[in-house]
Amino acid sequence: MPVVTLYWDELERLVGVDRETILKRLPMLGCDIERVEEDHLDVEFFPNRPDLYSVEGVARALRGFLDIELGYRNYEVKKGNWKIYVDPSVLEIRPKIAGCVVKGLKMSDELIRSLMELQEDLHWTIGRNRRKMAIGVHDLSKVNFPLTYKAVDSSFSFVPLDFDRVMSVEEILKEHPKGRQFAFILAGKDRYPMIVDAKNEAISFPPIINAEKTRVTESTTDLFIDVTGFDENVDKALNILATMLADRGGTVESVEVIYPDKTYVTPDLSPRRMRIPKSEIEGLLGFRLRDEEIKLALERMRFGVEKIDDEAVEVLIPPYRADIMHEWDIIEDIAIGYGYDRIKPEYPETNAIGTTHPWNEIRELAREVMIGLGFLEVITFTLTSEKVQYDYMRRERPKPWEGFVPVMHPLTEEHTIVRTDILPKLLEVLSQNKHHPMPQKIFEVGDVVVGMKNRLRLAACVTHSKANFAEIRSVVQAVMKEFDLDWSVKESEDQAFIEGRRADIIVKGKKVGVFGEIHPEVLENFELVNPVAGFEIDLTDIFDCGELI
Amino acid sequence: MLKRKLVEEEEEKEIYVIIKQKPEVELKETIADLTPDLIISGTWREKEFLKYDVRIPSKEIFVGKTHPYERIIRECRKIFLEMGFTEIKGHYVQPSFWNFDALFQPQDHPARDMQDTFYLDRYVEIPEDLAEKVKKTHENGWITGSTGWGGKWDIKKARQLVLRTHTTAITIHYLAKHPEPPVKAFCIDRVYRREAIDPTHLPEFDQLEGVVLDENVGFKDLLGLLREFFMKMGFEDVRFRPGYFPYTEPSVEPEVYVEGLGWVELGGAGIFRREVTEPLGIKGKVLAWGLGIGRLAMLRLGMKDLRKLYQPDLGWLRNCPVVRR
Repeated sequence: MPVVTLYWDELERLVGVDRETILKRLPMLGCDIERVEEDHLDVEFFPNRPDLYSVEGVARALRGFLDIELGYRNYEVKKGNWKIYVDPSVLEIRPKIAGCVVKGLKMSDELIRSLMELQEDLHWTIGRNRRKMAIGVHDLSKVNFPLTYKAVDSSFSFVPLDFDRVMSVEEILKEHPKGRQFAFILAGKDRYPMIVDAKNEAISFPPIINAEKTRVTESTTDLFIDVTGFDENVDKALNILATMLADRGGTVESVEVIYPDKTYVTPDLSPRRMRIPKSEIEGLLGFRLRDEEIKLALERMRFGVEKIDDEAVEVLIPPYRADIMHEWDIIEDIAIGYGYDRIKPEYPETNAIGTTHPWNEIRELAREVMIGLGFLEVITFTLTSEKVQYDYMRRERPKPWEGFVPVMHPLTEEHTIVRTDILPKLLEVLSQNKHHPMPQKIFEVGDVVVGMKNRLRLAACVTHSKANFAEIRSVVQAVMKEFDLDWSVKESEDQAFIEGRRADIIVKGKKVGVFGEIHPEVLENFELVNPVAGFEIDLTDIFDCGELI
Repeated sequence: MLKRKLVEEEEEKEIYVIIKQKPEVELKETIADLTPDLIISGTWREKEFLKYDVRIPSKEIFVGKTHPYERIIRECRKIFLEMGFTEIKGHYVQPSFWNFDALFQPQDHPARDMQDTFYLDRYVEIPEDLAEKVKKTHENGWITGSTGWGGKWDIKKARQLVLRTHTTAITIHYLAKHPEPPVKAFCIDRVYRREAIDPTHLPEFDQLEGVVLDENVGFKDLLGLLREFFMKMGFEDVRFRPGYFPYTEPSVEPEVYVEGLGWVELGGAGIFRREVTEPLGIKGKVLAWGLGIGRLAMLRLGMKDLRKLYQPDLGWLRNCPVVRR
């Protein structure tokens, strides 16, 4: 989620209240304040509110929330004489473009900073790292209209931003820092999107970089903004930019986007309308609000209220609100505008009987027995590696999927699979705790994943200078007795243990576990110097552990 | 002779003590170890017990006990059960469909990136009718009253397996199987995120989640549940701030007051969106909340480093008392 830096002097001036009030009320609007400094504060806004990624947007929202300026703010779009022709060649690569002109701006450092930050945050969120949507901001006076949005090949050349020489598309993708950073978006393409002016000179190579010649400077007063991408996210981003600049005193002019078959005029800053039944508001919130409370709450959140009748409320949705998909989105804003802190919590009457899951009941029983035997419970990661699970244990690696589950793109060599056995994890624990006094007796009762399904296992280890088969056999005997099971043992083949000192646990003719003295080679692999005896039992084999989803 | 070791030197000292006054107690033979013989014969009566210096500490023995973290989980389970919730459990390996798509997570959502999720190179079938409804809801809102996310929904992405990133993959599937209200269910279990290990980030951790499905419940009931749950956890002061989660609306971030720390955010909550419940045929509204158990452990055990929970240090475990003041 983007963290937006808001400078106190700007924010206080634009909102019209002091910082104490802002600090107190801002979190109730929906954000996390990350840091408060003398000259600024860093605030994390939620990904559904990209309109709050600039100080202008935050000020607009806060003025409503603090009852300074209520309701819908109208944004005018003057009809402009600016045209973008969309060439059919680009439709398969990056089909959508929208634009606007904003005139009469004072390009202070403050505004440039805010605009650039907003642009980057929009790229990251709505734009999904420029894949779905990318923005270009230009000095209008350096752009020769009409423009054409088309596809070019890799030899097409221009001077990209921050460079002083002509570069081809191919060079930019290899050498320009932005080219290298975003080349992945155009990977595999042999034609590239390009916005060229009336002289066939590039002004922007979306989603990578603008041309140097339309650079915005402090003397810029009028802007042209292009937004390219694939879907309605293009319009959402453009509306957020246009309204933010309008809030800074700019005059927005429209741009005509002429597709082969259709013409659009952008931006569209007219409000969307939604009719929300009052019963739905009451149903979702669980309490009734009076008409004037609904109206005030909506206006605090900068919605317009056209009318409230007996049935419903008619709401105007500002053009910068990219998140309103459903009437519930507005009802949430009614709750925020009303104030979460004013809502009276009530415990619901929903009646049901609590029941435990057998899986965890059996875990509790196993735990009780092991603790009674003096063992200390440990918890370990379930992520591990084939090396520790099988190689260190002198056990054969099972087949992936039938046996263990390998993860894609593991972060470390230690975490490549999900464990199928707990015993190796316990040996790992012992190896990390050699410096602690002996004897060490530990157990874990938890999940392993075999064949993509969870199974419940109980494993335990004991280590000290005289740990041996007899000791662990006593423990296994005690456990099986407490589990009230008829069981027998059979010589085991498990290579993790010393031959002749290892046994399989058999219940109803089926192997359900194994115990014995750990093989010295295994001890060496785990860098252990004291003998270890241990066991592992599959509890899903011997108990009904209940249904898993 | 001494030098030639033909004789040995020996010195003897004799001390004579004269008792000048008769002691007030009778002198008896002392018992070191009390034996069955002494008890059966009753001869212990004529003897004196050797007195030990009780101030000397004995050899240390180590207690077998529950992991402190499991103790917190047990406490949470107890609270849920007292509140009438049914415990549910699911597999770690889940299709993306239940982990993401059924929860209306758009397919290009950053949380679904390879960066953040452990994907598995395996695909499973998704029930066709469900997939169709979820597809329509994602693309255009279907009959939910939503606009949907637009774009194309790809079933292949939904079929890919993941190590579940939250327990909501389990609760939502459970609700889809039990769509008739009332339902109260909870799940406390392991979840996975593709994160490098540091003191506050782990690639796997445990999460708690509760859901209530009923007809006539709303946001105020969710707040009531949260307040009750946290009060039972011992957090007397609870307050609520707006939050954001892709599958709930409204969403809320509860905060509890902790002495010495102030207001601490503790988990998240909300009402499942229509876009989530309708395609799955869930009738009524679903109030849901969840939190990381690690966060509770930090508050309860004063831990600053979550790694300790899953990478056991026997010294720490042995010294972590069962009763904490």
